[in-house]
Formats: sequence, C-alpha cells, structure tokens
Amino acid sequence: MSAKDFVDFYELLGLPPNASREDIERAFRALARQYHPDLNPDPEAQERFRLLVQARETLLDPKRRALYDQQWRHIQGRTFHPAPDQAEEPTIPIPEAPEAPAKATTPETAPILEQEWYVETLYSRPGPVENLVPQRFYALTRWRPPAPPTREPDRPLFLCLVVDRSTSMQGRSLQILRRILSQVLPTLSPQDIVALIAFDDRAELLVPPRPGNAPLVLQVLMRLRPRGATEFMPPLRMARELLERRPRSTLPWLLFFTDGQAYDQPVVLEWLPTLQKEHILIDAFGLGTEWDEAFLEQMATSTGGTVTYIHAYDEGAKALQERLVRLRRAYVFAAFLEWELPPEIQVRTIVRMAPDIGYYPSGRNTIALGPLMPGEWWQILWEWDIVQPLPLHHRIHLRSTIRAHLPDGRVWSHTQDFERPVVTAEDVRSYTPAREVIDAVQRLSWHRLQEKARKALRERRPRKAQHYLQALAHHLTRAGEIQMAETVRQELNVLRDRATLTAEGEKRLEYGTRRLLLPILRRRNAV
Amino acid sequence: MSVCPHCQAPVVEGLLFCEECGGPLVPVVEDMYTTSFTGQLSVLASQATLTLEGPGRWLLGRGRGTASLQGATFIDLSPYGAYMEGVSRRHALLEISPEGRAYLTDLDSSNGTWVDHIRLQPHRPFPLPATARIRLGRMVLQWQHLSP
Repeated sequence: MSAKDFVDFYELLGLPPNASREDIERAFRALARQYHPDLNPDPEAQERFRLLVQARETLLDPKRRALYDQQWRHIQGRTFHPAPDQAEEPTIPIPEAPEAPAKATTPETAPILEQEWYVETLYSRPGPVENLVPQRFYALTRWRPPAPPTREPDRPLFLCLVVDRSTSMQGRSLQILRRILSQVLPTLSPQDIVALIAFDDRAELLVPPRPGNAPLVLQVLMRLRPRGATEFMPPLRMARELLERRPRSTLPWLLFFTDGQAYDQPVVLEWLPTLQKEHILIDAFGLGTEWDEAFLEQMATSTGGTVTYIHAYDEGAKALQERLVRLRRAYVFAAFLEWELPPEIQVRTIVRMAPDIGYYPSGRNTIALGPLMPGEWWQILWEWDIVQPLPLHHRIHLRSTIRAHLPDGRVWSHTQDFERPVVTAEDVRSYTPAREVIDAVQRLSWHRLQEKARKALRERRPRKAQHYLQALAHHLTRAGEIQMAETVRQELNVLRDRATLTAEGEKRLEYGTRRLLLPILRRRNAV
Repeated sequence: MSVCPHCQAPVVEGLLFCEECGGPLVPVVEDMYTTSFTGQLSVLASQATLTLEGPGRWLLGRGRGTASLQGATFIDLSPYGAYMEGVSRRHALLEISPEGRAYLTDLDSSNGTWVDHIRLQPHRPFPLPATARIRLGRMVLQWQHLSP
C-alpha cells in the first residue's frame, strides 16, 4: 500500500492514535449521523460514510488494528517528520491510565536517556548532629553527564611519552620500562600517534608525533643510553608544545615515566595550572623507589590523571594497556569540579574512587576529575569535619558545579546543591548508612592504617607500626582481600625482623591499598 | 567523645571505622564483598523468566530493529504481546549498578511505567526494592533480587 492510497482512520475519526474502543465507537456514531447516505445526499458523504465503516471495523478488531497501526506508523514516519506534539506513539490505550501524558514523546531516533545529568549523593548520617564538635561527616557523590548521542567510534590516541633517561635509570628501571612499552606499543593501531621525548637535564625529541610510528618509538627506546642528571621542566615544556599542535579530535595525553626526583619540582608545580587550562592529561608512572610520591601525585591529580607505581613489568603493562583501551573511548576529555563550602565545614579528604583513583590535596575548591568513558561515572568520597557547633534546624549547604569538556569543544555543565538538616543525637543513633558509604569509608580506612604505620616508623615507633599493619592484615583478610593481606603480612615480617620497612615495601603498601579504593569490578578487570 | 568497642581508643563522633584499629563502628554488611549481583525478571502472563547478572543495563521495549541505548542490552518483549499491552519501543531502562543496586527508569513511554502502583517520573532512576511488581503499560513483570 502506498502512502497515497492509505487512509488515516484516526484523522478521519478525529482521534489520537491511542484512542480507546469506546472513543472509536463514540466518534463513529457522531460522524455516521452526519454522513449517513439516508441523511446526507452529498455524494462525497457517501464515500466518507463507507470509509467510516471501514475505520470502525478495522480499529475495533484488535488484530486488524495492530496491523493497521503498524502501517500507520510506517507511513507517518516516512511521509513527514512529526512535530513534537504529534510524535506520540500509537499504542493501545489503557483504561487505568487515561491521564497518559499529553506532552511530547521524544522521537525515537533521538537519544532518549540521560539528556540530564545523573547525580546521586549518599551520606554517612542524615545530617550533622546539633552542637557537637568535632564531628566527622562523609558524603559519597556520583556524577554522570548525559550519554554520548550515539555509540562513537573509538578515537585515535595521541600519546606523548616522556621518558627519564638520567643515569639512575640504568639497569632495572630502564629494563622494566622497555618491557612494558614493547608489550603495549605493538597493540596500537596505525592511526594512533606517538611522540617520544627523552630527558636528563635537558629534553630531546627523539621521535616526532606521526600516525603509525609506534614501531619506530620502540626501536629508539631500545637504543636509549642513560646519562646525565634530572630536570623535569624542559621535557614538560616540550611535551606541551607538541600537544598544542595535536589533531583536535585527540585527547591530549602525556605519559610521564621517571625513577627519580628533580630540583625543579617546585617550578613544575607552579606551572601546572597552565597544563590544566589546556586540559592536558598527565599520567605519571613511578619506576623503582626513589621518586617523590607527593610530587608525582600532585602533578597527575591536578590534571585529572593517575599515578601508577611500577615494581614489576607485567603489572605496569596491564595498567597501561587498560588505560589505553579506556581512553580511546573517552567522550569527555576533561572535567572540573568546583564547590563552595560553608564556614562550619572543613574538607579533610577528597578521594576520587571512580573511574580512576585520585587523591586530592585538601585546601582547594577546584579539582580536575579527568576523562570519562561511556557507562562510567565520577565518584568522589568527601570527608568533612564539622568545626562549629550547629543549632538544630540549621541546614548545611554546599553548592558544586561540574564542567565537562567534550572533544568538539562543547561543555556540559551541572550545578548541584547539597543540603542537609542538622539533626539530634537521637536521629543518628539507630541510623545505618548506605552500604556504598560504609564500603567506601572502610577502603579509605585501610589506606589510612598503612599511612599511620609508616608515620609511626618515621617517628621511630616500630611497635606502633606493627600494631597498625596487624590490624590492616586482619581487616583485609576478613574482607576477602587475600592478596593484599598477604602483601601486608610480608611487610609485617620485614618490620618484625629489622624494625623498619624497605622503600619498596612502603610503596607497595601505599599503592596496594590505594588500588583497593577502586570499585570492585573495575579492579577485577584491571588485575 | 566515645571509645572504640574493639580497642578502647577514643573516637571522634561520626567516624564509621576506628582510626586506631580499623574496627567498624557501624554494623558492617557481611556480604558486602560479593561481586556478582543477579536479579530475575519474569513476565507474569507467560511465565517467561530472565535472569540478569549485574552490573549492567537492559532496555525493555519491543520490536525488531529497535536501536538499543548506549551500553544497554535490548530485551524485546514483543513475543509476550508487548504491542497489545501498550509497551513502547523504548519503554524503560533497568540498571544494576556496580554496587548491586537495581534501578528502573521510565524512558518517557506513552503508557507509563509503574513500580508497585507508583508511577515513575520519566528519566528519573527509581531504586527497585528486592521484590517488585513492574508494570509497563499494561504488561506486568515481576522483579526479584536474587543475590547477594
């Protein structure tokens, strides 16, 4: 049947496509009185009456109506693009729901879901307790921006590899780095662009960025000869220039590999906001044990990136491989979260628990959340101290704004107000927080225990350190984190024997417990 | 200031875990570490049952060739008379989060989505209870959270 021959019975009866049988019967009777050949001599009326009968017969028979509706939708869909108020889907009416929304149904070809941000916050208590200081308060917030309209193809990557070749890299560190990259680089596609910058106290562009040059990068890497001291600014400046000239559709990704520290670290930290402004993502990889955790941490997290401690090549290769696969699918390149806190609250800790781990230094009110892949969300655990006694009926109020930068330069932005009432001690007595909150805070507490152990060691209190590690091993075992519990026990033995930990042991504790902060499933895939 | 029941160290109000011994100060859910979350969706009229293993997203709708949503698996309800029951092509989204919570979101369907007689607001994820009666238009489904 062509569109020309097709008669729109709904139009004829003056009914919406989801009209009920009663509606159809009623409309038919009214119109039949008007067009009945016995009452109306007009020849057109006769034809009209014939169609009305046909309409009634078709629409009152469920089987025939279903078939007709199918054609109706097909023809409606082809002959015109329905205006929003006509796009209502033809479905069978439902007696219980006569109030079915009169408003527009979104045309089914357009993205329907997640035209809005999905934001969810869970708290450790319904609210802070009145007149109680000090007091700890936790909030776990998730944000997910609107989903990409269609499944986007994986994007080519632009990797700017910045590799330390100072004298200290000689031997194991360089060996591990080579093995990691010789495992990962061959998996790149010919469209991917790689640049290689090596540095000691100066920087050198060994391989300029070109599509499909991963094999060349590997060759050059194999011939790399360590020499000289370490300076971080020259290679970072050079990397920034390369990233500025990258194709706009690629994510500006800087991978920084080092085994040591440099005297110009403070300069780098001051200069970081420039990189942040340009949405450059820095992932830092620490080789060996001499590198400065606090520095690499600050460098990476200020751009939304992560720090990976590499003590074995297979672990490092897996971590990098997984990152490659995920970043290829990124539909948000950079995101920033900004908030205003009331004076009665102080931020103690901010941890990004998804999609990647990030420890943010406290005392700031903007953080970079990093890129996001479809189906993932950003998740932040806030740990707050209530520092002023609050009266009952007061409300604490926090406003946060998140800005997500898309590959095409557009920005999705979302402002969220968090409000909590001040409650009585009675209100919290029997309150159990959501499972997610308990789980997140417990993971943070594991990380804290190893931090305390290491701090106790620095204060020359090995017994105290032992006590913390014992507790940590116990809780990890109970939670089923057997592998990490085993690592802790090994370090505990070292501590008992020598009353100290090795540098490697400390990093294993730090980054091992940190990895446990990732949601269980992501971690499973990663390991 | 109260003390930790495990190690007697003083604890700050509002803490969930003791800072000295890591012991829980709130009831800890013992099955918290289960990594697989499953639920069962059955079409009441036809006894058809589908086990969903989370985390994941499922689009409930009807029709062949209906494009699914990003990252969602399409569940075609046509064989159970979806069309006659007023189910839209993209009717609702069922999600099991990585933490094992199930949500149902109405996708602005023509005839609406109900969970235990509550009509869902379009595009607002609704947390599903362990057992729930879901109605898509006129089609009734039973949701049963299986594990953990």
